[in-house]
Amino acid sequence: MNLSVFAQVLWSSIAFSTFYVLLSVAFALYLKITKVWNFTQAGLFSVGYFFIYGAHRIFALPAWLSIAAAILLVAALAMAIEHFGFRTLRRRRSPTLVYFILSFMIAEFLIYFVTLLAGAQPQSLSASIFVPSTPVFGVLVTSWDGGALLTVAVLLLALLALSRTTIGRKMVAVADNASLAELFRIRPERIYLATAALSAVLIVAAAWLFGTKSVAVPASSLDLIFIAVISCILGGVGSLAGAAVAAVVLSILKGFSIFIVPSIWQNALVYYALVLVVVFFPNGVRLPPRWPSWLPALRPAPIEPKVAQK
Amino acid sequence: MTYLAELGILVAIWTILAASFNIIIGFAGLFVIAHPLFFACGAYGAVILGGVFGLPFAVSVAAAAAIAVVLSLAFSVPAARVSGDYLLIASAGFLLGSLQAIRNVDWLGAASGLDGPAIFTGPERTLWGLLTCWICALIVLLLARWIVGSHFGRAVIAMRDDETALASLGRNPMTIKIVLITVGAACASLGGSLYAGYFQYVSPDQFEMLAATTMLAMVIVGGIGSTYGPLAGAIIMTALPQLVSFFDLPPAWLAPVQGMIFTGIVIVFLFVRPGGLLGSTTRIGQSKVRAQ
Repeated sequence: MNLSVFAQVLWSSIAFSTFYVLLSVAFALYLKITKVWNFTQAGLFSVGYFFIYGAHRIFALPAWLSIAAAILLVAALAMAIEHFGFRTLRRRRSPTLVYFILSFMIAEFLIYFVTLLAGAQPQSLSASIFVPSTPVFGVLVTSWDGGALLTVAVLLLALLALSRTTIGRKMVAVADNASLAELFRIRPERIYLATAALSAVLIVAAAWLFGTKSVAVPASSLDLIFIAVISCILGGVGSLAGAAVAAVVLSILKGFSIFIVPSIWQNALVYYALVLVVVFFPNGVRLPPRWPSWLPALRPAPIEPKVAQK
Repeated sequence: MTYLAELGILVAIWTILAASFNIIIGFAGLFVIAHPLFFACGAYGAVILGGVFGLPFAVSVAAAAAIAVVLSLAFSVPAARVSGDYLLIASAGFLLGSLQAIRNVDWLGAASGLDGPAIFTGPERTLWGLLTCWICALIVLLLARWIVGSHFGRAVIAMRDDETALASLGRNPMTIKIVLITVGAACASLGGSLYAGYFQYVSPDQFEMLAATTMLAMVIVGGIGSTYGPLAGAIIMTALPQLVSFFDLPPAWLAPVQGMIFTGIVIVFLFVRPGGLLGSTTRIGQSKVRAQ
């Protein structure tokens, strides 16, 4: 592989990772705050995707209007699922299995519903997925790449800014300890609803980016959500930045793997990777310590716990 | 009449699958949803060993069950390290990855599937199929009942309720988990072999996540953790979607509508009757330990 091919694959993989990043962050955000592995996001992705398809491609509404309406619809659905579904289970103190069954069943129900309305044929959100490209230092950069990277950057910065606001701090408090947060007059139910709405924005943005680059059937969202789950676990459950970085790394690995593994085996490998990650790295991949062990002199001294003197 | 008899065969096969799934998920509380893969193992085993190698049906059923056991060990030995959501996600990955692999292997028929040998032949074909499937379903139900009533079954229930406490009594929860997944896999493989033996066709699409959803729906509707719940669940969940075929819907609508019925019923049951028809009302809907 020469340098230009390497650079092209690297760039394309990074650009392609944008929707993985948004989905992974949406999944990680919901998991961090509500402690629920929310597979309904797969169904919400399909609803958002095919709503935009219907509004933009069939009824010829402007893209911005279709996306805005899809955000409203998906946010309303996500909040309804949180309010009528997960909230009820929390009140009943249901075991984890019930959360999973409910979230998976709702996802499947939504996917079947979308299949009933839109059919099982692959559809794209733009008239053509081929966009003009410009060579930059020997690498072909498309207008889609720039737009996708900008979208992700804006959304992640907005999420970062949100974490500095009152609602953001409340989210962090509820994520850390919902019962303790309640003592400080924070209502976790409202925070959970806000999280559902926030995740919906990220999911619809991911659907738009995916649909303008590729084609999807309603059931495609399950494959995408599994990649989000892998990223979420690899990055360390509870870390949004970790999930985002893991999504980019996975996309790059997937991009370069075509030189080793035939493309028909790629999906199988992704699923087996999920198994290995879950079984052998359930707490995520820990990076090596900043100071290598062979340089003990430079390593900062550990802080000794203070022992109370009698 | 043949239609009703074939419906009875389907109910028996789904009873075997749901009862074996219930052993893992209901009695042991292990969230392993790779069960359709063991179902596939039995079906493909019967088709290939019986059709290609010409082995007698009973031998191919036993050999397919052995393959399913090996496959379940390959998954459960490393995966028993994790539990709860993690086990569930790992098993989903294992199922989907393996199905994707089947789609890429030519000698397994790839995506288009394989035709199987005729096991039940002659004018009494349906009757023999019906009898064989129901005898097997009864054996699996009795096996589940025996497991729950035995010393081992009490250890299984103890493991489900408090794994740490069981380990402190000198029992190894890992061994119990592996044994249960293996027993469930062997039973599911039997269901797969009977399915392929009667309907003579297998394809990867039959073992997709929808199959896991269907089994889960049967277990939940019948009553998770109850011995005869899977039978009730299999009868209801096999009969109800058949009603859709009487509405003369376009073919493209059938699968989504049936899928919506399956998932819709499970969602309703989770809220209205979490314990299912024959189960305790608190077993799945509420955690007694946490509620206290």
